[in-house]
Amino acid sequence: MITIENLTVSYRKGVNVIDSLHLTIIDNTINGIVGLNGAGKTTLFNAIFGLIKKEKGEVFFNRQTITKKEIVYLPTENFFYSLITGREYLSLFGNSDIDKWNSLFKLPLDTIIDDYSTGMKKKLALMGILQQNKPVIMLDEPFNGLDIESCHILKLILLRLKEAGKTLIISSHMMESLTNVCEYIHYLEAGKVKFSRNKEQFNELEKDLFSMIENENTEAIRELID
Amino acid sequence: MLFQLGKILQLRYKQLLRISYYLGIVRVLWVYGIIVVLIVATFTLTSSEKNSYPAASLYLLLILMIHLRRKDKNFLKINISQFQPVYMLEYLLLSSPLLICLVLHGKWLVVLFAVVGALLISAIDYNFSMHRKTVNTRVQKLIPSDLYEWKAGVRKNLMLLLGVYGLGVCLSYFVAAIPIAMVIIGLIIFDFFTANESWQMLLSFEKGPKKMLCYKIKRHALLYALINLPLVILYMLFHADLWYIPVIALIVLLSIHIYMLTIKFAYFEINGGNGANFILQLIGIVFGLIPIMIPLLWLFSLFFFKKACTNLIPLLHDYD
Repeated sequence: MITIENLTVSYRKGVNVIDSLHLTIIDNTINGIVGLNGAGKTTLFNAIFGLIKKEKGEVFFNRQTITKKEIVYLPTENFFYSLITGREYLSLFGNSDIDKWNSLFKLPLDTIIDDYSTGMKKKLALMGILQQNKPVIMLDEPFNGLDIESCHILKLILLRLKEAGKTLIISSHMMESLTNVCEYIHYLEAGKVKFSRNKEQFNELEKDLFSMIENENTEAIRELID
Repeated sequence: MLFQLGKILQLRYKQLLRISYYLGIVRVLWVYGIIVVLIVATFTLTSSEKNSYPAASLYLLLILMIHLRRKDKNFLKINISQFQPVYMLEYLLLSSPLLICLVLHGKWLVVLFAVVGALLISAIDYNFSMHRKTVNTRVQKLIPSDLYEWKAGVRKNLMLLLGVYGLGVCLSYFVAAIPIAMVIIGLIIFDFFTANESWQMLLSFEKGPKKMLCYKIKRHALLYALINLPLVILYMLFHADLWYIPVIALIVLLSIHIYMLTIKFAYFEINGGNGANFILQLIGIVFGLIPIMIPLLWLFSLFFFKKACTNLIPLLHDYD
């Protein structure tokens, strides 16, 4: 179980991007994190992974402070060294099943990464992450830039990873990609988890979210366009 | 960890090989020539006790700049279990020409200074972006919006620029302080032009290739000169008899600056980086440092200006 207790992160004094956040993530489940731009999703991921300093609070995995030994993280924007091939990139992660994984994503692994499209780079980064065997997998916007086939393959992989006993935390701007695979969705607003919903409540969550967005913006859109 | 360290070094080696391959024999020879000149200069400088510390400090400053600006920090933190040895090894390899020269001259204390300095730099875990928002936001408002390379570059390097500028001002009564500050600021600003913008940003000028390039060069030159002007004036106040030094430095740096811009657009690719042009940029910097080569720099700028105009025709021909 992952327990986030009283997590606070701020980049400037007095402005908390993550504000006393509490969240419990049950083992062996797929969890979605949603929220509008600037809600703090990426900051939350960075704080869980330990990429940024926490002002307060702690993240526990099975009652122990979480470490990089237990978690892999795919950030939204991935870095690739220039002038190296996909295969060379993947060799950094020390897995010998590169070609088996690539039968799913069909990347030209012996080509220089600089020539890859955005979607291909995303697939490559995903392959690097997914082949690491750690109990917690955290993916920030994994579906961004992927084509329909790869999105579906990724969903299948995520479900299989869950069956294999992994705990997954995923963020996405595409609600349907989360509702298809997640068991829980946590809605983040102003650095706090405003509410969490389980699979049975996803329809209600979508309705609530969209009506909230409509209420907040319809008038402004009318003013701008009419 | 050793496995990943080995892999990273292997990748670096492959990157070097491929850069050499892509550059072609002529440019590679140029680069090797430049490297040999730099190593000979290091060897000569480190022969005297007086110059070996400044030489080591220059190397360390270079490593510090690389460390603060490297883009793979998060990648290493995320994917490499012990990432600091990667920095250490890379920086020791980078400073190996200096270390070898120092060892050959028997300057063991300076060796220790350089090694400890490199190791300390590799331990720095500081992200400028988290600590500069308020000042940066104010400074951003002073930069015209059409100079977006400056906006991006200043946002990334503000603290470094302010630090060097401030040091230059504070130490301006030393003869070398302001020219050195001008050169370092110039080097930082050269980096603003290493990434290419989107097509939409170019289209926003609503000008044909030649007019757009002239406009950009004029705007960049103006802002660059404006930034350096206080330093030049300060130098003239403290060292009136040497008034021409900062003026020459400004002209040379401005020439390199214009050369960089022409290179950028001569090889412009939408949204691309221009990493392969790094060597051409380096050649420009070296030309700028050797007085007799400066006319060649101007000739090259003219050549690349024409090449840039041709290269931009498919993107901007509608405005001609």
